[in-house]
Amino acid sequence: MLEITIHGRGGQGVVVTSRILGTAALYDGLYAQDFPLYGAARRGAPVMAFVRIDDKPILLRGYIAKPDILMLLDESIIEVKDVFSDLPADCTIIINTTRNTGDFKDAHPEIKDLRVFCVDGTGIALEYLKKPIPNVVIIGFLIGITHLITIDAFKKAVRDELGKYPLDLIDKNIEGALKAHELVTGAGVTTR
Amino acid sequence: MDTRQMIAGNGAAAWGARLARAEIIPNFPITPQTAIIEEIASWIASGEMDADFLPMESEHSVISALAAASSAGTRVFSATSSQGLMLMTEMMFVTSGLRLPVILINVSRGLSAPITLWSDHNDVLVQRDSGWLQMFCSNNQEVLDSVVMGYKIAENSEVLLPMMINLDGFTLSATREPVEIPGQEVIDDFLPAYNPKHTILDPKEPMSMGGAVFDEYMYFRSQQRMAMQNSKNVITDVCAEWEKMTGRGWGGGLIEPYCLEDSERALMICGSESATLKYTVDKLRAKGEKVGMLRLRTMRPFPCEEIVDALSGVEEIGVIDQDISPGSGGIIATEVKACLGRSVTSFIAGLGGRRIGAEKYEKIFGRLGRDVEEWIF
Repeated sequence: MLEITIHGRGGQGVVVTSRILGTAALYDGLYAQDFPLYGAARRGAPVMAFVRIDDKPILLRGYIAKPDILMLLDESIIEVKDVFSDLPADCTIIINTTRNTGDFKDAHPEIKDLRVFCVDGTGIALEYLKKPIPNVVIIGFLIGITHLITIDAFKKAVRDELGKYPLDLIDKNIEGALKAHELVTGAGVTTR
Repeated sequence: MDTRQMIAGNGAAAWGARLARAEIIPNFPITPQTAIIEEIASWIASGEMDADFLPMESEHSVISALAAASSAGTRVFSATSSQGLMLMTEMMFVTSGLRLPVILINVSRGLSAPITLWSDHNDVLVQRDSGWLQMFCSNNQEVLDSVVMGYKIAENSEVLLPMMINLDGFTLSATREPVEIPGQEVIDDFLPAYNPKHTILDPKEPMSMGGAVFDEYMYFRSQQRMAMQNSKNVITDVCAEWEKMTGRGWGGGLIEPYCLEDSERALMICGSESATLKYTVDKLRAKGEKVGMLRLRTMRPFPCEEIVDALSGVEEIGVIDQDISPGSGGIIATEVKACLGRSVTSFIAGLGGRRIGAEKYEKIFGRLGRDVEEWIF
């Protein structure tokens, strides 16, 4: 089973990120579970969402304490929440930041031994959609690193989950995601 | 044709009502239930569901409208949660007393104060004695299945009692997982239209319901008790029919035993936490430990004989309560003790959605065999 924790702020598409991953996994013939964790949610407030993906039915429930993959859609979350403590040694971290991995690890020595991948998701989103909503772009980056879902299933899931938005915006999200996908080659995440 | 989609517990409940062709939907919003009613509202607006959407001014009015519409012979549905369920209390007894097969979803949430939005079973168990059938679901598929089966059970002439179907707040209500949506034609074959004989709205044959009685009151209560007894067989039969049709029998209806055949130690639980407990049982069994689980599916009727049978060979029994009756103890543990006539270890855990998790269940399995109440923080 693969467990993913996503942090971000209300309005950045944290919950939609979890839904796209869950729906895409289903399209790939896998089992999935996705859910948000929030109280009185509002734009800008810290939001978390979780995804479990497995090739058999998933029994475990509840929030994920030891994720295989940690995604930060907003690096300012680090200042308000202790997101790096108690991570497993094989955790892969994906961060939306303009810094590179070396600089990031220098600033955060607590994750220096973990696999950290930085992407300027907001920059790519601004270029492609003209909006600072980086979630779909960052999923493209995640797939490039982990291959956890197929591109076909991903595209189909994006069209489902963003269905209420104009077609043009959906296509631009996918274009941005494919751009981010091109930035990386498979780095292989192990499942536990 | 069946389709498989990622659906949250709330969506599954709404799908159940849609497939069962519920006709009247009185409603009032409350977290974490509101998404059920919103989904139904959108289907009615788009023409995908043919029902009347009645926004009411309170939950007391919702249950009053449910009872009134049901007594007029329609199939009704609504959903509530926590404080909303508390406000319904007075009319809960009226609905069961009038023998109306209402289906009400409760998305369990801890009772105030202090305020929590998270799952806890005290809201359901406050209504334990209200004469409603009470069913707990372990996953989203079971939510959809239980709503459809619920109408068939509640509307059976041997039963005619309302049913409350519980799904745990957030753990199920906001969590999406794969759910098979049966085709409408399959459900139409399984569940015929509601055709009541005991309550009919007909100006040519006016009838009075729930009028004042004196000595007769006790007979009405006795009949309610008999209906509750009858419901055990009906639940089992309906579940068997459903299993034949869908392959999903949910343990037979009243209880779901898991790995109990050769168990030395077992834990009883109800609701969605049973999934994580199953995971723990699998893990401990892989290490050679003879542990098992018994999930209580119906709190009312309380399946005492079935529990006694299922646990007959088990040496040490524990009960997990996500509820507390201060001054007495875990409500389910109290009932299980009375039913088994032997000591069990009572664990109070997960109140207000506090995380239990597989590691704590493992610890709990190591703490059985004592006739005490222990709080797992």
